[in-house]
Amino acid sequence: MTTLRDATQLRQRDFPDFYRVHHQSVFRALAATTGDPELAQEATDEAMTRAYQRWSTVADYDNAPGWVYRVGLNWARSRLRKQRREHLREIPPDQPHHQPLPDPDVEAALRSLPIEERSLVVLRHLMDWSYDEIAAALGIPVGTAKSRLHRVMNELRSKLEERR
Amino acid sequence: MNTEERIRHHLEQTTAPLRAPDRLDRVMAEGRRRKMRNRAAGVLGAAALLAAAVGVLGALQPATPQVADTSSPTSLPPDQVTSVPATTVPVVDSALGVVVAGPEGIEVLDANGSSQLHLTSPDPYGEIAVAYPDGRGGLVYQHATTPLPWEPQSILWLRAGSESPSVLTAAPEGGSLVIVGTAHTEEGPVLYYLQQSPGEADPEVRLLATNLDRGTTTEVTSLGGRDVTAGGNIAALMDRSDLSCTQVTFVDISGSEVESPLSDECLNVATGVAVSANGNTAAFLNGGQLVVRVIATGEVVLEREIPGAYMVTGGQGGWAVRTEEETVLIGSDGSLSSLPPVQVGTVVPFAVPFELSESARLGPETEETGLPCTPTSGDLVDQDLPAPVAETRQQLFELASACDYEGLAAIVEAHGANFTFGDNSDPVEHWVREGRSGEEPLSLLARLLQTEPAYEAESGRWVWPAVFLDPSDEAAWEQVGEFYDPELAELMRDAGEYLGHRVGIGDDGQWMFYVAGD
Repeated sequence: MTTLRDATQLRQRDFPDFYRVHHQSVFRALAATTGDPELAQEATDEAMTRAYQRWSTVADYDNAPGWVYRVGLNWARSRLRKQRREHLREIPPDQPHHQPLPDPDVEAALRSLPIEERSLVVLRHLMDWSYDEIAAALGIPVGTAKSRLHRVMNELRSKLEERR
Repeated sequence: MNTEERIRHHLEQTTAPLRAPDRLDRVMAEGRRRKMRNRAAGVLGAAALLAAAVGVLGALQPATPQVADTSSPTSLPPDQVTSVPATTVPVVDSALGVVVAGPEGIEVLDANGSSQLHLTSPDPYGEIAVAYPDGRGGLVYQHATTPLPWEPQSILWLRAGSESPSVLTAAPEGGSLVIVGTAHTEEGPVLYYLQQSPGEADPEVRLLATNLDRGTTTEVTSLGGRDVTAGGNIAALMDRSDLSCTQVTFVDISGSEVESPLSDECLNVATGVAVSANGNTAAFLNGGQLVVRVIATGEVVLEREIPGAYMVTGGQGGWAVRTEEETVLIGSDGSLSSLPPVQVGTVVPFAVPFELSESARLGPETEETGLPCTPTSGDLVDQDLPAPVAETRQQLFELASACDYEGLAAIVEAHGANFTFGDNSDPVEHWVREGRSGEEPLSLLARLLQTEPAYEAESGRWVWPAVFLDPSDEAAWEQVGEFYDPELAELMRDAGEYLGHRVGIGDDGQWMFYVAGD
């Protein structure tokens, strides 16, 4: 897909350009991972704010959107934990979207995964990132990313077969 | 469909309809606020100690750039390479300094780092996203938040001798504009910019070139997912799909491919690429290694190690290389200057002296009327309120009905953390953004305070309009319908919930909120 990312990456040190290009994709990845678009929006804002604070460093990262995603995911997880602790608002992993689900079985299978494993699936199959990029984004070794994703996909495969 | 395809399809279908609102302004405002907080907490203290240790005189001396010359050619300038048929342009002198655009407006620094010109725009339009010399003594630039009445992302042109800018081009409605840079050509100075039009599922990004002397605009090419930098008659299009091997294609201003041996190479240019303003040479930055090469021949004309370099920009007569500690200006005569570091915004070399005065404005002719507000007529009717609440209500009403943005912003600041917006950005910026969507937030605030309030005992606060706390109050709905968009008011009424703007004042007179939404 053609985006402003590529158009502007030669001025890639320019945060507004980075934001305009990446905030939607980071938001969608976080929404798919958390299952909560509202939380994903807040997490994206927070992560982008932190990126802007230390932009001269973040802009140099090979996968700056990956860094933003990880910061957003950590923030969202922390928020979820806090909410559960305080019993203010439970966001269950299977919170429904406000739209018809294209494949309820896949949705259910994904929601049954811990958020860390779900993020692997999202980064690989929604964001199309390489194992290197996934590993860098999640701060884990490449081998670990590969083996975990392999295991998670096997698990999803069996769950989906069971539902047939 | 196998499992992977099924999952991919599901994820794409599920997330495709989701749209995050553009909150760039808010993100940057909050980021700046945090940076300032951090600076105030530590960095200023460290800077003061450093200044004391170095001494004032030392601080006044131009610093020696931290650059190691690793090349045999000591000076082979981007603007003095003349053997490139496709891109031959008038030779310009070595850079005189740099144009810096950022949160503080636009500043012109000479090669010694001395400020020659500083142009500002009042808040909330103070931050300039990008600025380039027009090659004729003026500037083209974009605001971070474009002032009303101009359209968002308008590219503005402050011509030599002019006191105020004009709109060079405006984004198509819902589309985007981004300046790529300015350049010299035989036909005069050219502005390169990107335009993305809305309304398509996968809108294409196009590179356009406007001849600033003639006012003609041509489409150079579609980017097709590539990065771009441009100078002279040349645009360099980079395919970065493989991070370790950037493929560069050069096209001329008409979009025809230009042959270059660089196109046959696999370039590792993780940090940046720039084309000189005349389009003869290209600079490649990888880590701290800067290499300048002639586009037509591939010949290396300059090679330098600049520790910590993270960005290079081509401009008239030289290159600006940024590090955390300094901005290194490399002139086309091989000269090196160390200028202050620039963290946010753009830094571009210039060679044609500016013909602008300090009184030239970056914003519109009348700053005040740029803010959306129609003064509200009428007075407040007394309500049965505690004295502190009544006092704050009166104060807010007077400021809002007089369209006094700054006065209200001062109250927000005085009431500190107990004031909440829908977001946490600067109040004036927030209201201007609302104004862009057709609302007049201050007029609305005044009108709200003329309605009946309701009291929320649990939190000890008074809320206008009352319908927010009591949606069953038919009379309160009638009041809302008098000043709110009737269709929207009806929708909220049908839904049984008021989610429009409301104002909250605490029992102690503290202004607690002025928000909308859920």
